[in-house]
Amino acid sequence: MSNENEVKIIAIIAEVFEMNKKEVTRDKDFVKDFKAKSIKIIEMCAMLEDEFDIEIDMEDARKNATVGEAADYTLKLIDEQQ
Amino acid sequence: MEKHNTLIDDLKVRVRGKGIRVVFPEAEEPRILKAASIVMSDNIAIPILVGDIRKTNDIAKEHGIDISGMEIILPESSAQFDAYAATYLASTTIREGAVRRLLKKPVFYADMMVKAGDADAMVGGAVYETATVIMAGTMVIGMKEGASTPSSFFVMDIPGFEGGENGKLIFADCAVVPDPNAEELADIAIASADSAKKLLGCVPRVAMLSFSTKGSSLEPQVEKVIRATEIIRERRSDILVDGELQADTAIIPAIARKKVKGESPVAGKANVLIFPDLNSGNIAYKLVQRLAGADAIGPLLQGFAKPVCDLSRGATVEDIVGSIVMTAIQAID
Repeated sequence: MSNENEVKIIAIIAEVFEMNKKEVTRDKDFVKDFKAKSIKIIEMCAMLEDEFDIEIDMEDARKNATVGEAADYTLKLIDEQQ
Repeated sequence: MEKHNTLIDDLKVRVRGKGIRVVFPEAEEPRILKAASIVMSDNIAIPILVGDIRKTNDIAKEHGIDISGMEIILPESSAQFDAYAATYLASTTIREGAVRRLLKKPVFYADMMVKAGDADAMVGGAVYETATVIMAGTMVIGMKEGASTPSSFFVMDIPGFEGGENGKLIFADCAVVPDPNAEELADIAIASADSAKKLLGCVPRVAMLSFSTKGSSLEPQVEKVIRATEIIRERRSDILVDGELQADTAIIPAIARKKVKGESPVAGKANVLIFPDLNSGNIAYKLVQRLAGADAIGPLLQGFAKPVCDLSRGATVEDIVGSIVMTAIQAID
């Protein structure tokens, strides 16, 4: 389940940042590698909330620097809230 | 907000009875409720609270705050929610479900009310981080026409200083943009000139500050300030601007006469000081505040299409009332 969810998380990140899913790996840094503006991070959180029906504290979520951190953070919330 | 002075009292007179609707996305914060009740009873603004209705009423009751007559809105239960979602959806690439998730968050909903014209100004940040307030404002309300950078300013009221605008100076940017490029610096200056006009009721005289005056140094940091000055002149010929100027040349007439050849509408009599970066701006405001005993009112956000205020999370009720006044003034046409 967690693996399946991680695939979905990666797909959402790829959609928000308009990238190929293959480029969205756990080690990628949102700012350094994706040149992400903060707005994109907020949009990503809203998409993840919608996909998994969870509540994300956006101020907390902004601290996630990499795809791996964001995925682990989201998986933890799914476990807690679903 | 750090300290208040008679400027706030003057502005209260200007805003009182104008029916400015101020929306607060932190309805469950007692300081917000207290400040909202003060501005309501003083006829300074019409508060609108966004949050959980039952919790808000319970908190008001618990703290003995009278919020009777105030509208309290839970975003997802509001009649406007679908229309707001449709409006936002038209301007974004994210899915409808995600848009609805965003708008359930009070700060986004409050900004949407301002964008839709259902409120005149948004005051938040007592609980939310500055980055969140700025981000939501940028995403929902957007920037003023021609502007691309949200920034901030302080009104510095300096005892014993006879220059500026009756002893007051606008300082920018001292809180938001770390290292603006020339375009962004021009944005900051233009927004600050408009803020000065609105808040101080004056003709803005904008000094683009540097460690150099009129080519006395040709370092790249100076070139940025010179370029920003040119951009301002190209974009807004109505603004009186000069640069690059050293701080003393900007505000002391005798030094301006010595250092600036020819006529300058600004040198020696500037009332808006634009710092080249956040290091210099932040250091300057704190030194003037501490060493000259100035009242530093702010930071106030600027550059958004409609008024948005970011409170300090340590703001007192008095600070919040001051911020509401300063924000409401910006909503008066």
